[in-house]
Amino acid sequence: MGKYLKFTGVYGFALATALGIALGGAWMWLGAIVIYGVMIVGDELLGDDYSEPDYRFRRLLDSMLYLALPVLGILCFVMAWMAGTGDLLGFGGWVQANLGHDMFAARDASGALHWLGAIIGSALTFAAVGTNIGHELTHRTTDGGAMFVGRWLLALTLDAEFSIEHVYGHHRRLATAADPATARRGESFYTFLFRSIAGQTRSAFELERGRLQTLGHGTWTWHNRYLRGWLMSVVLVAAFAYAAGLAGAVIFLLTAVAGRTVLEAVNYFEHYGLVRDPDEPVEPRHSWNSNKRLSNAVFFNLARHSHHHAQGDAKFWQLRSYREAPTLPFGYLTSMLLVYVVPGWYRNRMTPLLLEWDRRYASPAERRLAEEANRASGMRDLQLATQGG
Amino acid sequence: MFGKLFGRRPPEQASVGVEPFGWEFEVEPGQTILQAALARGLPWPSRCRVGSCATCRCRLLEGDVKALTDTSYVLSREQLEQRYILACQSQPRGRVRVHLERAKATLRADAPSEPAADPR
Repeated sequence: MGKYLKFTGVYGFALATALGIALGGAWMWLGAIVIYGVMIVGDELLGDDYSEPDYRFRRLLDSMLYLALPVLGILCFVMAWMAGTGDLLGFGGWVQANLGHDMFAARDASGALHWLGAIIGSALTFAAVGTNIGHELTHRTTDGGAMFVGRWLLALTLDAEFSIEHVYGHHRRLATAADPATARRGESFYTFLFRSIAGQTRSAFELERGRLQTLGHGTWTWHNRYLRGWLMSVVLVAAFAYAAGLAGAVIFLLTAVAGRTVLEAVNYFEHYGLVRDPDEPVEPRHSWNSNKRLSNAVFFNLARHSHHHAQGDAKFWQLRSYREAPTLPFGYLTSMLLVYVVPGWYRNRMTPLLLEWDRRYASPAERRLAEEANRASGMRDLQLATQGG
Repeated sequence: MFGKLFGRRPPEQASVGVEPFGWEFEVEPGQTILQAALARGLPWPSRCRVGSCATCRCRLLEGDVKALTDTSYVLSREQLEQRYILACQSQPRGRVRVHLERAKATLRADAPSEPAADPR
């Protein structure tokens, strides 16, 4: 049973985040601290998990994905309630009468610094539940229900267009210079962040325009999935504004944008510095893989990224460990925190791993691309290694 | 039992014939044409394997396939009209015949064989 139940862990984090926000004041940091704390310590202590179990109850696995909707609904409701002024749906009164907790006092006790914690925790939850599960679902391009739910989950981080760019752009261009979502050698996370978002937005629009041309539809019509995706995010902003006024809309937008940076941090370390000859197929070596037990349980095996890119249509429970693939030195939340806080240190930490990648994994053509990337990296150790070799 | 009752026959074994190479192979349920071809070691060209690069495209001559992704992002209108499909995103319904322009060996003369330490 554990092999099924482990995938519900992320919802524990989501509910902790919602609970912390409802408690107000310093408790608003609960989600952020629990998520970072448990994940960083847990990945260190629990180590790797190479198991590749067979799953009989695939409906059960799928239903765990769709739990995202009610759980994120609860989180968004609590956010809107605390950001607003009245008693949205009479919830505060109900909680006071039945649970004895005064949410009105909690709201009054919550200042900007408390809300900062709430936004960090909620952004992590938007990304871990919304973006990650939206990613899994929107890979199922022939399943209308999965696409519908997946795109709404992505719209939480203003990124329904991910369903276009990721599948038809990123997977095709992976680890080549043409991919905005592959971080280059020596590229700082904050440079990558803007290049990646701008490039993916442009690419999604171009891909959609090409599709509409192929089908003989105009760009500015309701057939346009890119524009419909943005409309979905506008609906979410409007819903927050309706429920909780300007403060609600602003808090939602800040959370959505912060959640998007979480996705980009993950994009950053999943392929940092890797290169591929565009004429060669995508292989497990073109992703930084991780078999950290907790990261994979909480993120529905996303960290088994080598197999995901080598076989994009594999469901999360089918992903294999590929323990021989290039491996991230840390779990997902640890990597994320390092990328955010000490981006330069992270790049230096990855330098020997990149040089090992060049020796051990690269094809002859990729070795030449890697040398070019090393020279252009602006990083001394990469450049020296290239001159020496 | 119900299958018998309603006269449903067991589904026909999916298989692919590939022109002009004369390859013939069976495709397991749930498998794509590309997966089945690569499993047999056939040099079918492919890159992304998720239906976005169109390297594995071929033309459907006979039969029907179930497409797993929206090929309109990837193929041109002319290609769609000529019944091009993506091998990596197509599950044959019964027996199909396709035309493949080039096998992998002629795609790139200097293509390296398998990299030494690659886990695949």
